[in-house]
Amino acid sequence: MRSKAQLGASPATDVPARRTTEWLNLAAVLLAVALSTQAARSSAPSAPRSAAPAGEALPPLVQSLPLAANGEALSDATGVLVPRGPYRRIVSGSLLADPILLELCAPEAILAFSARARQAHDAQRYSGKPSVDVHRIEDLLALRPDLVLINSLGEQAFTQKLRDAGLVVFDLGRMRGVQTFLGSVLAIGWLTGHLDSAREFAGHFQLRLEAIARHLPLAARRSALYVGVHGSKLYGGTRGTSYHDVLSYAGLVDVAARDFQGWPSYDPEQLLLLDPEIIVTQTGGRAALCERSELARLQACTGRGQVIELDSQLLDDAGLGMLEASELVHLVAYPAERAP
Amino acid sequence: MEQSAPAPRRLPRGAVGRNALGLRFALLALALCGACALSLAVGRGNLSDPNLRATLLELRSQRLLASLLAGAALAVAGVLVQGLFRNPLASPSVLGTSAGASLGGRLALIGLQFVLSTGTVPWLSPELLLPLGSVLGALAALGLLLLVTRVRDDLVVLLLTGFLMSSLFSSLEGFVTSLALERWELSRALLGFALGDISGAGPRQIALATPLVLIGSVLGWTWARPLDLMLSGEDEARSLGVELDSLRRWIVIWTAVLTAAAVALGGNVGFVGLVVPHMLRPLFGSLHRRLLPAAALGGGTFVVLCDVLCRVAPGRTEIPLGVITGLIGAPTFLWLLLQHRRESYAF
Repeated sequence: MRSKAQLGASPATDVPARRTTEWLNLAAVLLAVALSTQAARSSAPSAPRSAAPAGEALPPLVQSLPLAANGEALSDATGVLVPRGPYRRIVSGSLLADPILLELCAPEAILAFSARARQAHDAQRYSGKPSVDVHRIEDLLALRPDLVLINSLGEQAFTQKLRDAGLVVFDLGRMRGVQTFLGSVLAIGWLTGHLDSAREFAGHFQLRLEAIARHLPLAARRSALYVGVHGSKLYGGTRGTSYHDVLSYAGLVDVAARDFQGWPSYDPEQLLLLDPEIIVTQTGGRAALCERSELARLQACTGRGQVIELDSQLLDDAGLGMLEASELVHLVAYPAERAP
Repeated sequence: MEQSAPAPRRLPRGAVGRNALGLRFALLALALCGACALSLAVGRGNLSDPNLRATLLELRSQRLLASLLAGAALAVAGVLVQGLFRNPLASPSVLGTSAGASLGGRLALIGLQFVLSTGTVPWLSPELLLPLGSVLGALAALGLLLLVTRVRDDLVVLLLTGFLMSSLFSSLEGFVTSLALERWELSRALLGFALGDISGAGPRQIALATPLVLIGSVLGWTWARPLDLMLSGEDEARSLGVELDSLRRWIVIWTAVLTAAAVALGGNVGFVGLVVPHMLRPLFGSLHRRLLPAAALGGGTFVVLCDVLCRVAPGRTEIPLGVITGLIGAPTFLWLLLQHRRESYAF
């Protein structure tokens, strides 16, 4: 035990001193909170920052299919106005933007693709350029891009940090399937000065998607469900996601769309209640799903239905890959329609 | 007449000589300076590029400041709660305010989606919603804690209440996360927050946290002497004039303020409040007036170095700070425990 002298003991402090301490602490708390609040307030409003004068904002991306090019700048998913190009040093930080850039821009205008491009199902398309993780800001700055395309997905502080570093950043926003992909195509086309090509590309993509199962009457369409199996957990992807779009354009009826939206997690009971003819899942999902005793009686696991497995990189692609995925699913789901 | 040589002054166990202490403080400050220099010098970008140098240094200095503040806040909070409970295994999370801040941050992330889609808070920058949510969450937890201590002012009750609140808030965090699972983008953001990450902290977050950390640390230090007296036990401290209820209240408040600031800066960064005081106690002794400033310096140094590791670790994406502090903190703590296994941990 320490001596009192060493501990700095002193006779009991008097009442006024104690009161002073209490008031001092209270004042300090109030001061700290006030200063923090002031810091928060003073840093707020932020007029949309752009490298060039702000212009007229175009309609939100998800509704921007009939995109009018009468403005000087385009509003991104965070409401920041980004001026039209020409951009000559573009970096894609978005798996969604990679194929669009490749389609619309001259190769020399693209500095790098997203970090995930090398893991994409069509990775060989991006092999000629480096890939960069936009979270490595210093790597990104070293490339000196004049436009960075990202899907920030709620990382507001990070996006702002990129802008604070002097980069022109266009946030493509959510990746929710065909509509958001088409919106991204048009936005990138507009920004890079290739709007006509973008319209053509988007239109072609949409036409091909719609052509996959156009001839199938509604009554002939089979019921289906996307299920991702991760350990003992069963995750879905329905209304408002690319998985739902893949099923729909493949000519299937997404049975989860009536009761769910987004990326729900299912318990086995829900799956048995939904009991679709077809389950679309990632490679290896069939065994993980149908070998579970409680799920073995699912139509899809028996001879009455089927489980369609797709490469997870393709299945998870909320961009150009949706077309290939829809075509593959359609071919497996309706084998009678295969060309001889 | 033969005069016997004066017996060498023997310092009580745990005490450190003044010269040795000064030297150790100087070394710690030097280590901090070294860590800061390393943080500014090391990165993936090339500082020799004259066009980028200013921007790179600005970015690195932001990360440096954020790491310093978060580390200092967590380490000082750790010393305060360990002193209050006279338990070396206490960490700032025992009060439940960390969990409150974490819950507030998660709720803010969900609110952020709503704000972005509706534009309902035009006077507030969206990137400030998360840190503000964390601060408000911690303050709400603090309010609950103070309410309970008003009913029954006792250290054990305080500890148990903190534990229960931590469990409650963790469950609520789980509930909030389960709601977000239906929205992939949101669950990704929540996961990033849970892993602890300082890379997104910019000038606004730093401006928000700085007053909380500076004032919290200084005012926490003003309670060092009562905490030192507590080392001899509550009864002894009371007999020496320490007002225990006042001490508890303000230590709890300043711990909450400090953890709120740390969570607002970097999400859940674990182990700092537990490991750093343990690393420093053998060097600086257990007296809080010395240990608290040492913890501020040491905590800052530790997190700055961990952040440097995050940046230079190879990999396609950056490793979150919370992962690095955990990977270093847990084995270090175990090593410290084994080193001191024969020594009493009763301060």
